[in-house]
Amino acid sequence: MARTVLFSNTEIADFINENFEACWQSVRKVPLVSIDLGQGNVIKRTLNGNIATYVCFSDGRIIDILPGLYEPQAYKDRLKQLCLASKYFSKLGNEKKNFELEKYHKLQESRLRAGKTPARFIAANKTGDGEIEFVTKYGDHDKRWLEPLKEKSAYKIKALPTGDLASWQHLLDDVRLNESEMRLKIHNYFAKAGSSSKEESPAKLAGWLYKYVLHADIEDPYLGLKTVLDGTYPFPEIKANR
Amino acid sequence: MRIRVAALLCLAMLPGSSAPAQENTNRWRSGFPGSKMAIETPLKKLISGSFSGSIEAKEAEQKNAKYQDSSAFPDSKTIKAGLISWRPNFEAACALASKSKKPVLVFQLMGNLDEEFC
Repeated sequence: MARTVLFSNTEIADFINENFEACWQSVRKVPLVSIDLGQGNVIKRTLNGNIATYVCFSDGRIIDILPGLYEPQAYKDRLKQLCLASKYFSKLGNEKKNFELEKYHKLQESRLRAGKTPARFIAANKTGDGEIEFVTKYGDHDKRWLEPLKEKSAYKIKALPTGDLASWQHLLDDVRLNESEMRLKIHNYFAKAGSSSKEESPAKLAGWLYKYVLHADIEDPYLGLKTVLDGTYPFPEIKANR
Repeated sequence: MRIRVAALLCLAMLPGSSAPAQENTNRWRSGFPGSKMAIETPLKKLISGSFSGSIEAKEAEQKNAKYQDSSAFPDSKTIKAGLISWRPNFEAACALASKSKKPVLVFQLMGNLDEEFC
C-alpha cells in the first residue's frame, strides 16, 4: 500500500528524491492470506502495515524511525522534520552529536508520554541550510495524530474511500497509532540505548522493531500469530498436519 | 496485527473483491534457504567488490539480496516501485549520502517493493 499511497505520489516522491538517498530492504517474504473458494477461485491478499521508514546519517547510524504506514501529508511532514534533524545533528562534533541525539529521544519520549505534541525542528530559511532550532513550543504541529483511538473504532471495518486511498479512515487511524504508541516505544529504545545506539543499523534493528513495535515477529515463521490462529480452531489433527 | 488479520479476512469475503491468483511455488523454492541461486547471487556481488562496510552489514546484505534480486524469483510479477530513485542497497545509499550530504532513507518491508504482493 505504501507504494500506492506514498511512493507513487509525485509530491512525496519529489521530496524524497530531492532530500534523501533512498533504498528499500526486505526483512522477509511477504505473508499472504489465500482463501480457496473452489472452482479455481482463489482470493489472495497481503497483510498491510508491516513497514518502517528509517532516517540515518551517511555513516549508517539511525536518527529516527517512522513505524507503519502514513497518510501522505503526515509522512512528508515527518520526513521534513527528520531531514532538519539530520542537518541539525550533522553540524555537531561526534561527542556532542551523541549527547544531543540521546537528548532528542528523551525529550520526545517524555512529551509523548505526557500526551504533549513532540518538539519540532525549525529552519531559519526554507532550504534548511541556515540556522536550525529545536523547540518545544511550536503551534502548528498537527495535534490530531495524538488524539487517542477509540478502542471500538479500531475493530470496525471502514469502507474504502470512493476517491483517494490516502483518505481511508483505517489509514488515518494507523497514523495516530504510529505517532503515539509506536513512536513512543522507538524514542524510549534510543533514549535507553544512548551512545550504544550508534552501532545499530536498520538491518540489525529490524528484529526488535518488528517484534516489539509492529507486533509481527519476523523471526517466528508464524509472525507470532500461531496462538491466535490455532486458539479458535477446534480440530487438533488438522492443526498438526498444516 | 491480529486486528488486521481479522479485518483482512472479512474484507476478502466481501462480494466483488476476488482477484486472480497464482501460486508461486517455484519462487518459494528458489528464494529460500537451501536454494543455490539465493546463495550464489549475493556471493557474486561480494566477489565483485560491490560491498563496503562491516561483516555484519555484508551478512545482512546477503540475506537481503536474495529478496531484492528479482532474478531469484523468475515467476514473480515485477512492477515499478513508485517514483523514487531507489539506490541498490543500504551501503550504496550511505556512500552516496556521504558525498551528497543528504540523509539516508531506508524503507523496510516484508516482500519486495517491486513486486505485486508486498
